[in-house]
Amino acid sequence: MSLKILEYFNYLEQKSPLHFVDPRGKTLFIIAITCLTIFLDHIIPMCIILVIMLPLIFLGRFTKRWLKSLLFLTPVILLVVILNALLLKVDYPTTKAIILGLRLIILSGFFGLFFQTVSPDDISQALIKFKFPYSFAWAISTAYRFIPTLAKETNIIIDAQKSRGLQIDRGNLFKRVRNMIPLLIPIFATAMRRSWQLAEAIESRGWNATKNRTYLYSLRLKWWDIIVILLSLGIFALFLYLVITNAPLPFWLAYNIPERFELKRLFLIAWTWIKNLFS
Amino acid sequence: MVETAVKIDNVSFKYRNSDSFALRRISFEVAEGEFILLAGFSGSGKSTLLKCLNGLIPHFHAGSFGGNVEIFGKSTLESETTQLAKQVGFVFQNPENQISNLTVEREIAFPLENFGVPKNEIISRVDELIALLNLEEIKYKSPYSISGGEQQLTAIASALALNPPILVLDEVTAHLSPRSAVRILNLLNELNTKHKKTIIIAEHRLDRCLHFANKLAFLEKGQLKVFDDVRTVFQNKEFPENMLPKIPSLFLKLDKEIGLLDEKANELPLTVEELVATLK
Amino acid sequence: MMIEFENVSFRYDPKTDYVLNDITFKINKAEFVAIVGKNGAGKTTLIKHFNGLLKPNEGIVRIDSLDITKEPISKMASIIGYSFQNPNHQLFAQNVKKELEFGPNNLKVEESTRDTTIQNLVDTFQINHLLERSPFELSGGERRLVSIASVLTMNQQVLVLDEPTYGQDYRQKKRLGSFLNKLTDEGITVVVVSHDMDFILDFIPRTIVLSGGKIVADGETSKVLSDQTLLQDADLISPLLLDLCKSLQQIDDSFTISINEQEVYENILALISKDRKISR
Repeated sequence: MSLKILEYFNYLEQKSPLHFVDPRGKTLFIIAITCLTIFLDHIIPMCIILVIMLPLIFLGRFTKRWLKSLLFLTPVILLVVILNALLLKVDYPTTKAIILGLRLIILSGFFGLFFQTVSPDDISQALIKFKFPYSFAWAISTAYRFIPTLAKETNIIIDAQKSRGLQIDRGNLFKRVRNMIPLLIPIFATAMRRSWQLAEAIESRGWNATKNRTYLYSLRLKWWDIIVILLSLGIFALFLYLVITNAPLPFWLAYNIPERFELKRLFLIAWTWIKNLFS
Repeated sequence: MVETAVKIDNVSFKYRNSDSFALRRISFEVAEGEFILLAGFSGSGKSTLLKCLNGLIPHFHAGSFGGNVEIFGKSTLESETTQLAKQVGFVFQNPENQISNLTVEREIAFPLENFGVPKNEIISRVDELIALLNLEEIKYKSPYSISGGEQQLTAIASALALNPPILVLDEVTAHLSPRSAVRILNLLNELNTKHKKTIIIAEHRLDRCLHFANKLAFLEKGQLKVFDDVRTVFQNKEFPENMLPKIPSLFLKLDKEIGLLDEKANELPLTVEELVATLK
Repeated sequence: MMIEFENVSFRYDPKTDYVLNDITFKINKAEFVAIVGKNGAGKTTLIKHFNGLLKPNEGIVRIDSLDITKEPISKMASIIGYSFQNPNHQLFAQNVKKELEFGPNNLKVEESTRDTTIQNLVDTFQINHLLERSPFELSGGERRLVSIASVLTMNQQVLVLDEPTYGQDYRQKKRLGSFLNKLTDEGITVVVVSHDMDFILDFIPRTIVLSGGKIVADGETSKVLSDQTLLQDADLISPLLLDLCKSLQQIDDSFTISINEQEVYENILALISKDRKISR
């Protein structure tokens, strides 16, 4: 169950406009926006970022999955907000707690969007562009290529051993661990065999034949990628400006929830009221 | 004068973790443009022998290697498997475990990329191969969403990418349905006759490809028992009777009973058509 | 034991099409049946219903009078032996002997009974020399044989084998075929999913053809496999002997079609002697 959340954060083969943005641009953007989101400490700027995020999520055709992932995250976010509102020892704890909650929503949204639109292949190609060794980049895209095979195979292995009378979910913990052995060994052995065969196959087709490998496809920046990169640099510059100058935000951006609405205060009022009721 | 494509000279091999030799003193030659069938029971050393042809043995698999393999006069000991890829294309048995790229197109481009071929040449070569093997429909598909036969065709296309004169295939139809198997075997025949590729293939379905072959090599327990013209091999006592393909076996039985070979035909029929023609 | 499918339908996901569509058939005790069909026709899905790995969305699967849709798989293992296609998906033990003991031990079979069964199997498959070896050292064909044997050790009354002849040579296929024949003589029901035409023709009397999740033919193997459209449905090709008979029939109308090797041989012999009389 806990792993199910990961399903909302993997790559989806689609043709959304965001899929066509260069992964390097997207990486830069997500770094810049993460820095800014973590640094900013006011409700209004957070809301602005959130409002900017919504059309992007729509553009990346992520809306449905995003809402579903939010549903998963809601209990966590609520818990974080309430605990912080009650326990933080700062001025305006409720404001801070809400900022924290917004930050979680924003970051999970942007990272979800990032992973949905950046394929493992994009990642390996970006690595090549950043002068990582080809074998490293190849390993990443190949691992991805074999995920469906591995999943299918694991299911077959479970079925095969069940058919030989293996009971996987019976007995005490020790026995259950022992019962995993007939599953784990074939899974491991087939994976080993596969990697040997794969190694033979790539070796036979000129693996590392020259130092100057060419690429049928390689990343090339388009005009919209330049815009994304400039925008990201702009966001980054803003972040640096705020860090270095430590400039206070204009008053209309620096809104705090007034003290009379603080969650902690409301809670204390309610608590004394209940106490009086029973005493 | 036809050039010698492959010369196997007194080759023996023992895998590092094994206590018996997988190959024992094997020698034979393959001329350019020939189609060689490699037959033998399972575990007889067919795969091991094929792996000697592109240097996977002894470069990739550790063990004790004796003798010499020459590809167009050059010993495999002198060049790495990687470099031999230009001379020998290799296709393996398991279609699933030899495709490493995310699409068919890129799988075919892979060897060309490895050798640093310029991009525009890669594009035209890939398109050429895709047209040759009729892979247009699956060009952009991912390797796990296509059938086993299509995967094997992709692997063949990729092995052909560098245009090697020799193509080595290790039981490539073993995982396929009869229909796709025959399709692949016919394709190999076309590559042999039309494109002059030298083909060396280990294959269980002798029935469906023996008429394409010039010569047949029969291995048993790592030894080369028979190596001869296909029609002659089947009359050799060393060739096991239970491995005889259907049509020659039927003919030989008839011949034994009523003596057809001298009376009606001077050579052994290999296909249905040939047998029918002889019986007429 | 008798196996009965009654209006069985199945799909993996309510959003997708049915993989099995209203399937009804009966396999009697001690029958030997082949199931053929294209990849994706639903063969594997069908046989997974035999031991309850999959449960039908609609319909009933019965073994004798037992409705197995309600039984747990662990119980089914003692009734039905199921051997999966790829031996690598189940071999795991330190040596072949332990591999063979794994099934009976799971079912808590008595040691003496277990050992006699295993010895019996080892003798028929002639794998005595493999007992102490690790299953991972064996050749592909040997592994397949051991994986089949490791299922047969449980003395079940029904056997389901998925592509049992993959990677096997003629000798091993013959041994396997006659062993399965012997089992049916002893009253065991055997169901085989296969693409191996020769194996089916030589050993299995009844064939069921599956296409698009439906049974399109069910009958005597020689009849089913002589039907061109059915063959196409099943991704099979017409057997060589059938082609031969058809060609001979064009020469002489009286020639009777058969796909049994011995019969064809005798028919040709008769044809030739008739011919000779006329020419004299």
